[in-house]
Amino acid sequence: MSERTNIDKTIREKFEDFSVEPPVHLWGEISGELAAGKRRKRIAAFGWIAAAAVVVIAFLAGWLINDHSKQVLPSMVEQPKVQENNQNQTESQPQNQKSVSQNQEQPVIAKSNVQTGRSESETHKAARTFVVKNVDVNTETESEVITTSKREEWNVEYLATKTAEFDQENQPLLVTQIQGKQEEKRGISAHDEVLIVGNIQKLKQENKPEHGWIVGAHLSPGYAAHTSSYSASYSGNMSTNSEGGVRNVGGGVSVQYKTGKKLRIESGVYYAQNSQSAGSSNGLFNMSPSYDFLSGNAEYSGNDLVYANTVELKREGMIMNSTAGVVNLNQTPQGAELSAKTDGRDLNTATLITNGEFTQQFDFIEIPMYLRYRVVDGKFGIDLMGGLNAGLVVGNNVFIQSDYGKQNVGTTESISTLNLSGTVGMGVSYSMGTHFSLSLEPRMSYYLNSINTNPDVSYKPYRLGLFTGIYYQF
Amino acid sequence: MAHLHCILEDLKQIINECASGNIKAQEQLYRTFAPKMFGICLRYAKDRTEAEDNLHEGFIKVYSSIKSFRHEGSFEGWMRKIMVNVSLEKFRKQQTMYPVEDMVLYADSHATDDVLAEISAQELLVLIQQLPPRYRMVFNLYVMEGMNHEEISREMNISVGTSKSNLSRSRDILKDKVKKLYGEAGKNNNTA
Repeated sequence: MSERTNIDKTIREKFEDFSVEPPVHLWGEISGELAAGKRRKRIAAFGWIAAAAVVVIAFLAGWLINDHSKQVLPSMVEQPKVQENNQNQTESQPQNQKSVSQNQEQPVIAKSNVQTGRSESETHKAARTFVVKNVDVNTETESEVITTSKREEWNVEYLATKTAEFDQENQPLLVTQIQGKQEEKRGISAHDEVLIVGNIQKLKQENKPEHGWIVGAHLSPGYAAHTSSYSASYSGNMSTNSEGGVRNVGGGVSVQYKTGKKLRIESGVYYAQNSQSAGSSNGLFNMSPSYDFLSGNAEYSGNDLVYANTVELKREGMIMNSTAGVVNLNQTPQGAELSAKTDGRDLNTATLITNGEFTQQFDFIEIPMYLRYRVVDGKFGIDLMGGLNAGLVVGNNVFIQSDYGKQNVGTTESISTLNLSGTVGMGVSYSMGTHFSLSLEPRMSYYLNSINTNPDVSYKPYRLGLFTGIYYQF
Repeated sequence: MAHLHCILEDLKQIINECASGNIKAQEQLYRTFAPKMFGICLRYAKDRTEAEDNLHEGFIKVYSSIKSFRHEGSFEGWMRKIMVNVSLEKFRKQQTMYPVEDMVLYADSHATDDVLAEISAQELLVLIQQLPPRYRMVFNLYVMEGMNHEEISREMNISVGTSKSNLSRSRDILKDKVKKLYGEAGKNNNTA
């Protein structure tokens, strides 16, 4: 024991002040990486600023559009011309009308040039304005008609009936229906009636809250694939296997703010998975002379998927050019074969062959900023939506799915943490009462930047998803 | 004593400036400590290139985590730990790629430690680098870092018995190599 202790002590003492001057170029490499790190941080900061700017611009756009809609929507229909010869009838039915003084609060007046078909001389004398104000379509008893002239004839009873009818159907009455009943309406012309119904409809719409919040929870089965391109030097060291997208499930929660009757701004947090798989049948080896040594190998015959690619052997593992970028393999896939290349050009390269399917998977947390436009507003609603997502890569894994199970064999290098994607979609919703609704919404998201920062690789994933969800409105 | 205090204050100043990203301070820190750290990296690596990689990676980690240094202990010791950890991480990755069979206990070579006293650190370094990766790692952690076998087994994901046998075997290999080196040198001297 003492001999060993002495040996250890001797060696330790020899190395106590041992130092060796490192090569001169090393500081240059370290300082270069430090500078690159700073640049990356700056780029990430710009990315966040850009995302914040998108949010602000979208909000302002919604705000401005909403302001405009406020000015247009409340305008009421006006009837400027009433026949003079109705004066007597109006006077004979005082009990049927509710007169309100002209200094009524907030009189709603808008001008329109409605053509009544009557002569100018007839209508000019008795030009009057009437306004239907504060008609509560939910409580028929509080229907209220304002008249400004005794010469105008109004049938309040009929108006209340019409309002109730409108409530029941929840839709504006058709002009043709009104015209068909014209004879029953004790002095109200077809044109007047259209105006009344129009006013009621507008008031009903006006009574709906323009602003409010909608929260939703979503589940989204989908299909993820990609578009990609490579530099010649990169693709020269990559075997092209048959590639395909991957089905997966995403989801998240959303928050919408109603900026008006039609427009909404949506944000939230979504989880999405973008991945691609590669594998090929045995036919690959018939086409590529690189894999001639495998012909006749029973293990790689049949219809099983086989993945093959060129790998570069490194001290700390293997690297491999793949669809989404350079893959750093931290372990050899189970059951894989490594075959050295015999052409003598590069002794560090080999061919990796493994049964199974190769998958590169990226997990994203997406923070969206969407604008929604309500095309149809009713029991069944239709929305069009579109906007941008800040996509944060939170998972980066490479898998081999083989007879040995699903094995995580490494990561893809140079994947950017913050990315930007665009989304468009169309949603159908079904209202289940005042607060709840269900929705079904196909969406497509496409990454606007290559998520791999390697200049030799352009890899832009996209995803088609069917977003199902439930909304709560308040 | 006052001189030492000044040096420590200067070092503290450099560390603080490094933490705020001052590239000149980072270079000054590198110039001060790189030779010592490179010596450590060389002991853990199989060759100079690997040691350079480890030194590079180690200094990047030093700069990125220097804000967490609380000035409570030796800064050199803190850096040294980072360098050793970088070597350990590399070893763990290599181990998954190229698993090594457990070695059985080898017979003692009965060499004495007298020959070790004659050899220089540079010569000894070359011999240490020639050890198999796991022997080299166990030897360094036990002899140079003062870790016990339980700690080594945890860090390297090996059994305590393996750690012990690897250490014993690495000592024997080193002694044999020293003996051969000096024996051959002696023969050469005689024939010359």
